[in-house]
Amino acid sequence: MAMKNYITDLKKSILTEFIKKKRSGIFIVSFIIGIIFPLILFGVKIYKHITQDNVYLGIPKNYYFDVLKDILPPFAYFFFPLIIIYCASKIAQIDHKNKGWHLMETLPITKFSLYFSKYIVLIMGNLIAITTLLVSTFVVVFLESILFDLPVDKIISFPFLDFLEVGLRLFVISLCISALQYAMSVLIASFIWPLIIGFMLVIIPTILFSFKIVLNWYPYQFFPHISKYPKGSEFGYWLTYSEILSVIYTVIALYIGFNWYRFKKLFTAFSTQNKRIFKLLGILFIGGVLVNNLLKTKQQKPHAKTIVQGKIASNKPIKNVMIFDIVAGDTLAKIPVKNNEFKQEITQDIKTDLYAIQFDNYVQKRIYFGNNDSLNISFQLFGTKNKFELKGTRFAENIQSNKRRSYISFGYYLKNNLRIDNEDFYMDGIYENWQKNLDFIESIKTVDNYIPRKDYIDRQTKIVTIQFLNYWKDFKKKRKTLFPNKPYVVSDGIKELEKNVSLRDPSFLSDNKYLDYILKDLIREDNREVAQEEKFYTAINKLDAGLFKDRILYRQLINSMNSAKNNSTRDSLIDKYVGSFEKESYKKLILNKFKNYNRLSRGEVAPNFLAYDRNGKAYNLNSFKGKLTIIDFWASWCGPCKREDPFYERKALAYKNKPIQFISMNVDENKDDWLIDINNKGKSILQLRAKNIKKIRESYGVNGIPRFILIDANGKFISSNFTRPSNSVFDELMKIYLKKK
Amino acid sequence: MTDFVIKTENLSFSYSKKKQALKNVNINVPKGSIYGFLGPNGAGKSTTMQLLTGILPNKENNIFVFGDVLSNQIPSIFSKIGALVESPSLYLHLSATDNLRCITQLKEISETKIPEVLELVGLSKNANEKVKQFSLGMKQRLAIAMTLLGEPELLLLDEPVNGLDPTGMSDVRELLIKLNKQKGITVFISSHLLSEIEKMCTHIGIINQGEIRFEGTMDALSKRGGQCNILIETSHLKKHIELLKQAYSSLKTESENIFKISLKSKEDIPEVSKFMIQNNIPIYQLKIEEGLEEWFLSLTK
Repeated sequence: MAMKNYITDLKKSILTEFIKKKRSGIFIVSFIIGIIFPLILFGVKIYKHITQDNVYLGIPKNYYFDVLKDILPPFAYFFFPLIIIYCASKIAQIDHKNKGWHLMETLPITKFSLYFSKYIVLIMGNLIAITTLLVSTFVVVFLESILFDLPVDKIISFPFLDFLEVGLRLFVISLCISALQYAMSVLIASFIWPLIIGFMLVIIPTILFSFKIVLNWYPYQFFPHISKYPKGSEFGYWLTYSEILSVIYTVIALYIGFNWYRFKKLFTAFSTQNKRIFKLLGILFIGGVLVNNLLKTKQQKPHAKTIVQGKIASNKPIKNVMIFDIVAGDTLAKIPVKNNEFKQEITQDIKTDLYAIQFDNYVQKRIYFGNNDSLNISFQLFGTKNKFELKGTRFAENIQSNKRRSYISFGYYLKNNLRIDNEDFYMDGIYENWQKNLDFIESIKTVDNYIPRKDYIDRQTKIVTIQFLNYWKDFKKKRKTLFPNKPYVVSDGIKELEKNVSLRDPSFLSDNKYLDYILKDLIREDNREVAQEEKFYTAINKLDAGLFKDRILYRQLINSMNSAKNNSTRDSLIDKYVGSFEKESYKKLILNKFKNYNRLSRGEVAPNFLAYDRNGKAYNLNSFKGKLTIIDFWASWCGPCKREDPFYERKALAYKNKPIQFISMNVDENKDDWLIDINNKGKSILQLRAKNIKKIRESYGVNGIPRFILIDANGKFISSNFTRPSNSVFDELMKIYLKKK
Repeated sequence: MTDFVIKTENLSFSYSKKKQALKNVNINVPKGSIYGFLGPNGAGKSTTMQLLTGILPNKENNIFVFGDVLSNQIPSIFSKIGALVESPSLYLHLSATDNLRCITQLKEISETKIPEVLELVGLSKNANEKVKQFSLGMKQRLAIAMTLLGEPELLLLDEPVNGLDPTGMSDVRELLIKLNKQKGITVFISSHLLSEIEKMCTHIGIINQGEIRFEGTMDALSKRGGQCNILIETSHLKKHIELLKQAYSSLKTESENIFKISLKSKEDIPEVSKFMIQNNIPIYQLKIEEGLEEWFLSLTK
């Protein structure tokens, strides 16, 4: 038959299907499923607009797309697949129930047209559902934007292409689910069985997900994939691999479904006698090869240069982007920001590790990269909200959801010294959870099926292993103390765990848990009756000179200096150990830190400052002599500062009649930000802003905010890093210091 | 040579390896005939029907319709055939008109034909009622109406009068005869009761256990089953039996005073009564036993 005849024949059958589907409600159901979630959301939004005055500002986002993202999960995860399953069964039922197949087959119409006309009606239904969803989302948001004043962080411009892309992806995947469900519904004459089977197939991913299993090849998994990644491909393609997979599945499902229907029996449809089996095998083979290729995970290749670049969007002036090493804190790059963009090639050798990236003094983030990586960063900071995104050669390694916390029940038992006599409980628990965590690392994947490179996976594996080895160490210690006479045999699982970690990995000391683990390991045999810290130093001193020793000594000295009560302790630490460093740079770094610690330690005179209140009245530290002074360093863009704010105010009121001055010291770049923020603040706290902000930050060593500093009546430090007012020990400490005065 | 609308050559079919549903079935339906395809339930009627319509796929090319191999003509041939398989195949949720619209759409004929066929089967008043509310007879008639759309040259009707009341049956019969006479439509009609279709058929094929037992014109059938059995009630049969047996060797006693004799034809009956009267044998009742039906039953036992 000529192509034209195929089309007229198909058209005829589709028109007939339109007559036949009368009163079946197929299109209406699709329409309802499409409109229901935007409507519900609209109702909720109206209610919220009426009942609360919400001016909670965040990162500017496209409001249309944001709403669509909220609507997608219920639609894509459950209701859309469900409606496809229902409609497929319903549309096949029209002919099953009335023996219409026989009637249709005795009319001048090809089986091809008959089979495909129904399928086309089915996907028309899908199209109705998708279009209704997108259009009603648009209408609802549009109405909201003209009926109510939306906050300025909601961008109201319709992202037509983004909507179109989501619609297209939903549609492509619906082709596949429809083809599968339709074939099933035609072959199974019952109404309910295709529904039940389809329903099971839909919920399988959800069930498996609780076991941390994600079947990337599984067609019913593709809808959740859209709702998880509404923005689609990382590389800007219109379709991701799951959509392309679904096209292949669609072709195979339609081919098998149609031939099975055409010849009534699977065997008749595909047997060696009629050679159709070879055609089928050919199609399955090609499909298999394509599917296999698409499912193969990919990894980014390193580039020729190390490049860090990106864009910044913020209502704060961000001048520099800094990258530094987290162990020693040395700056690797200081990249100037011009026109909200920055770009720099890093020429020095960067060992692949976790580094810190800081946007002026505002926000610090961790990034994982190394030599020959090209990072493309997008950073947004508005008010107290920020958003950090990283693309480029280390995209898979820097996905935020890679960081995962899991509740581990034996951790609770261990902490509370429960069941310590049951070694199997701990050994099994530690081993099983370790395995589960490793599986999770292996499952990290981007929307385009990219996985992290081996170095990252090895590193994460180590981190996880160390976490569990630390549990094991703790258990061993507790067991030794609580049940010294109860021997046990170490299981193979635990041995495997122990084998996995090198004890001399300098690049890995950036991880605190590793440091902890190494230190504990170093003093394992040391049974002297001395403080643990002393054991640490003895052990470190015995190590061979080199980067590993330098780094571990550095970390340990910082820890000791942090916890040291006075300068003399610190002095003696430095005297004893500064000579043990091999590298000059580490020596310099530690001396620098030491100087700062000493300058800011208890009993040292606090540096003076000049600051003004909102009316321009000048204050300096001497203005508060005779009273305790507590200073809160803060800025309007700092979220954690805002959280401390109500606590701080409450304390100020509680200590109103006590000899203590509460000060809030603003470090905003922009004076107006400060003025707006303190506009309706009470008088219990003195609101100040330093004349030279850079200077006051440096002299008080304020490298992060919020920071609380307590100074005694004589202008000497009590603590340069006092506990936060939200902490319950705040009052207890305050009581002591107020008495001392 | 007669022009056969349907012709099968040693048509065989089996659903499973063990059971053969059709064995070497030869059917020859002449053009312009009303062909009654008879057989008890499970004889292979529906299987034959489904093979003739291509619903069951047939691997060998031994079915010829309008002189050509059937499988080569599917589905375009159905513009010339009206088929009613497994009655009634109707969309119960649609109205009669909508059911017919499905057919006009697919056969590409004008919807103006719909009232005509409804009129023909007497459903004009029910055109817009949902088929779900129809009685069985109405459904049957609508199903026939659907086959009539598009002026077919051949009607394939599987048990079309099944479940109809006597009036309904005779209506359908009259309709089919009318179509056959006026428009020259060939009708292939299956049934499990000879009496249902005997009156309208010109040709008969009888199938049992998958095999054709008889095929031919009605006249041939009458001749084949041409013996005339009569039942006679008398009194004191024992007294007369010897005499009767001498005259009619085929005599069988049915009960105390009833006996049966087989005659060559009806024309011999007056002779029998004359013989009995002459011999003073009383006749209380004389009845012709239906020959064709009995013969049909014996064929299909």
